[in-house]
Amino acid sequence: MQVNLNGIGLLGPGLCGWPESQQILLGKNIYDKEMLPKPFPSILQPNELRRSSEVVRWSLRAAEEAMRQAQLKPDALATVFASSGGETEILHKICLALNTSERAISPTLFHHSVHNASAGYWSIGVQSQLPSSSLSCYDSSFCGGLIEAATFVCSHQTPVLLVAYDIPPPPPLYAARPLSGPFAVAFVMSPAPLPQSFSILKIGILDEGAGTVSTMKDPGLEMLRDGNPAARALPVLTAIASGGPAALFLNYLDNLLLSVDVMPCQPCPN
Amino acid sequence: MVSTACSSSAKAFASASRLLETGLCDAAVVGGVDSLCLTTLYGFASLELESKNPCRPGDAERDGLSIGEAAGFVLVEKCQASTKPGDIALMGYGESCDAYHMSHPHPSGSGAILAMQGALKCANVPSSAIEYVHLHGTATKANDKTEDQAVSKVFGSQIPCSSTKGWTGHTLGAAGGIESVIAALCLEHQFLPGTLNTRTVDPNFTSTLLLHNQERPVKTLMSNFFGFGGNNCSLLFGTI
Repeated sequence: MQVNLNGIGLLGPGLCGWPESQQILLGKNIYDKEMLPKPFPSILQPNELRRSSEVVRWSLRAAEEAMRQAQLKPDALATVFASSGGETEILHKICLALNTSERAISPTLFHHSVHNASAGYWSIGVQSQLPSSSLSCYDSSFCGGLIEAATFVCSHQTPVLLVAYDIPPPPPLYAARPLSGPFAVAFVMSPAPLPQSFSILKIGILDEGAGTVSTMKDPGLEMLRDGNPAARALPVLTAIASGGPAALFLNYLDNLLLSVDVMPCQPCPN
Repeated sequence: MVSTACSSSAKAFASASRLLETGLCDAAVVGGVDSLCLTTLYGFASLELESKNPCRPGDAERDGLSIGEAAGFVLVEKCQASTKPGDIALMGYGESCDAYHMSHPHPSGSGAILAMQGALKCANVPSSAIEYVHLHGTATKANDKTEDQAVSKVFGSQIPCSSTKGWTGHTLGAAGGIESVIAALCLEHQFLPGTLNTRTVDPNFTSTLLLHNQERPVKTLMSNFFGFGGNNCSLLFGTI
């Protein structure tokens, strides 16, 4: 199963956009994890932006960046949104409300609490009625999203926007799910190569003994990769930034690996 | 796990189809589960979408949904040499977004129409091939009104329709799982369920809402699922 890559969006501690991050991923610029992006996606209306969660702002900003590079009309793409925890900030606020005697939940909070909140806002923002899926696969959420997006591209022969994202939940939920930092990544994939396609991803599922999980050299980036489900994309991003071919293995389910072969077809945008 | 609110487990069928089609697996266990919890009980109450009585889908006096909890799973595999007449098949699926509002359906029903038309196209059958529509039919004012318009637009006003949420309540993320099992039972037993609790059909409705169970031949049917975030999925089931 293979797809062509036409755009990347990236946000994380010390990673403020795809062009700026490539030299950091390659170890040519220093990784500074203290530098935290403050994303403001432009597709949200001012009132939506004011009420939006960090999760929505991070995921939509990464999606926008990838779409801008891909030079495709955003309403022409189906979408896959993948996140382990989704709207944990909203869940926390609802739990606080449920812990009062009135148990009065704000209606706005409730409809923002669905796992597909980011996907819903994206479809409204770009006015796309094309199919959209939102999924969770715990630590393998990036892999689950990649499989869902790639199978969609191959089955329907249509481009897909994949967005994977997770934000550390606020305490006390954080104690149960201590993610290493916020992270959002977006890929625009197409079935056939386009003039702007810069990499081909070949994706397969293998038994765990078939390879060794790909990791990051920089200890800070490795901590981020290991501790945020969306950041499991980091070795793939690094391979794309390097401009050479690479054969990678990502943790998938208990006894499975996802193999991702990266094959460059032209220098990626920077 | 697909999580698109009340279309979640219907969309799991679409995902499974793609996994089978691309050869990543030979069979899949597909379904949905949702348990009662305070977040949904008080959440739907905050939107004033919950009825104080058992829900009455499509009724002129319907006043909201009843929340249910359920789990329903089925085993699906590729059509192959061992597939025999009488087997139940997922013949098509359609997915769409409303791109309108996070919790209110598109007033024209355009997202629902796209999902139903998508399932027909996927199965490569005309709308006239469908003999029954298993409605999302939550019994909220907005859902049932919009879905009625959408169904009439795609299938005309004569096709029999009903909602089974009077029996099960709205089982949210599990709806696709259990209502697909109900769809399979309809096909297996040549049976169309009536709409429990509904007494007087909304006079503004244009489609044909079944109030009572009917025993009659049925080979193909459509099931609808619509979720918050404007996320829609229609499944087309049939007998081989």
